Amino acid sequence: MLTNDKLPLIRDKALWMRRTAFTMVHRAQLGHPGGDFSAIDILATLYFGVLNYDPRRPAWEGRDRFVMSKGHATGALYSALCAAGYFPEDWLATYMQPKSLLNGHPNRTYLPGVETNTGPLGHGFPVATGIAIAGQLTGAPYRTFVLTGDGEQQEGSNWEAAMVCAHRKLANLTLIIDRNRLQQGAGTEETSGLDPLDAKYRAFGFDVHEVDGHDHAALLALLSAAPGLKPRCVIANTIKGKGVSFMEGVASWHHGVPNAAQYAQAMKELV
Amino acid sequence: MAHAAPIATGLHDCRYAWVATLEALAEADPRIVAVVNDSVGSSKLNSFHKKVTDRLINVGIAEHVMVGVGAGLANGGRIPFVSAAACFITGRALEQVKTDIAYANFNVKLVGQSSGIAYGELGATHHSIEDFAWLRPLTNLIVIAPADAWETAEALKWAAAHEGPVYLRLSRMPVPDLDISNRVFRPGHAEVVRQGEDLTIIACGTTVHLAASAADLLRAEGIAARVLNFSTLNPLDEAALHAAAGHRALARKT
Repeated sequence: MLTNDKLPLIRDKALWMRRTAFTMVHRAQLGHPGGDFSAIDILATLYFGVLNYDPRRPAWEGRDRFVMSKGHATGALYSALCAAGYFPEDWLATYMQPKSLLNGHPNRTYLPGVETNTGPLGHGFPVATGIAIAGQLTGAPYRTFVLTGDGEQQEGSNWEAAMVCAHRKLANLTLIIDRNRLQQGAGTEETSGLDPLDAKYRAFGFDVHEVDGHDHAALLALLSAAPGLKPRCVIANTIKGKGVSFMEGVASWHHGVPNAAQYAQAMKELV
Repeated sequence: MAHAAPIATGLHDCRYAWVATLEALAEADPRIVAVVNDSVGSSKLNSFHKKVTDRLINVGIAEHVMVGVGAGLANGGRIPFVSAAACFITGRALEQVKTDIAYANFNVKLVGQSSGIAYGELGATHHSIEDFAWLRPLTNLIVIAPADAWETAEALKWAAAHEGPVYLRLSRMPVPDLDISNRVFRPGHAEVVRQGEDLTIIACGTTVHLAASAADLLRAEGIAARVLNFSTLNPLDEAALHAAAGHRALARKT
């Protein structure tokens, strides 16, 4: 199958994930919708165009791994895992409720499809590095993808992991950075600047690519390309709150939650 | 094979038991790997490296990624023994230990070397006297401080076979083998080192043999002190504690 045949499915799933994530956040009156929406096109492309997995066997040793390092974006992650078939849709209605399996941050010990527990930032990339080393040691052909936020790159543990990845030539690992240029309360460049992020990762020994993080075709081509000789870094330029007019590029939607009118307006736009 | 260090006759640096046991485990099970933060020498892993070169993963001086890589290796079906000075694997990487290992319940064995004040001369930065307080509350994490070379080896073998996270707190302080016959390592159970009903001395790690010596001195004065080796610090053997609390009160007037 030509990879472009997957594009209508990715588009449909991404739309469903946005509507679903926003409904979860609206119902719970909790969540991180801005970062959900910047990441959703990346997750939809991975789960419906790139990753090799079997939701009936979440512990299958040969699965490709996706590590959601920006663990607060559970609207994106849970809607993707549900769409991928890891758990039934009615679980989504329990999001952040007491005793729900769908916490504000993901827990692998009880939610199928979650590769590692995240939430505190700067954890996913080191764990993904270990997963990739395990694959390298055993010759297993699985690939490891990890998505971090861009503000998250301020955590030093990422740069420890980057050194290990380059040193061990972990070509089976792809780091994706959700470059929406906003962190919790302000721009990344106003807070503790990251640019030039591409040059930094190039200097750290990565094969670096920039892409429009909302362009499914471009994401699909890049993320499904065969591994090269180095670990890969994909800087996905995104828009926080992408898809809803009043949220796009507005920092306060990092953990803003919609009122009834805003929810209705968003549902009108997400079609 | 590791050789004994030039220390007093009858005393053992338990790191030799650690490395000999790890080598034997690794030779028997290809899933076993070691992860270190440049601490190949201080973890006594040079001979391990020679035997199973590709299974010693040295991430450099980087404790956060060291512990995270341990979790990832477990995700990939390996059984990692992550070894570093106790002060750094706990204090420096505490949130990784909490989130990536304990809370995520990965099958990772954390090995804290030269714990307590074994690095006494190096100063407080290198002491690890807080690790029990930091790690005991962490969910899923079993905490074990072996008392001698025999228990070090037994605890390692048990940890390798146990599915779940373990923190093994080792030392470089030379200790004698405890003089107990027919020992069986029972995780989660306090081991009776001396019998006695007047009072109980509770110890763990390299202080157990000192507690036994103290009990012997007390016995010469007519006081029967029980000595318990609480090598498993989490979960705690509460039954043994309650039993000890029932001792008759001992009062002496001078």
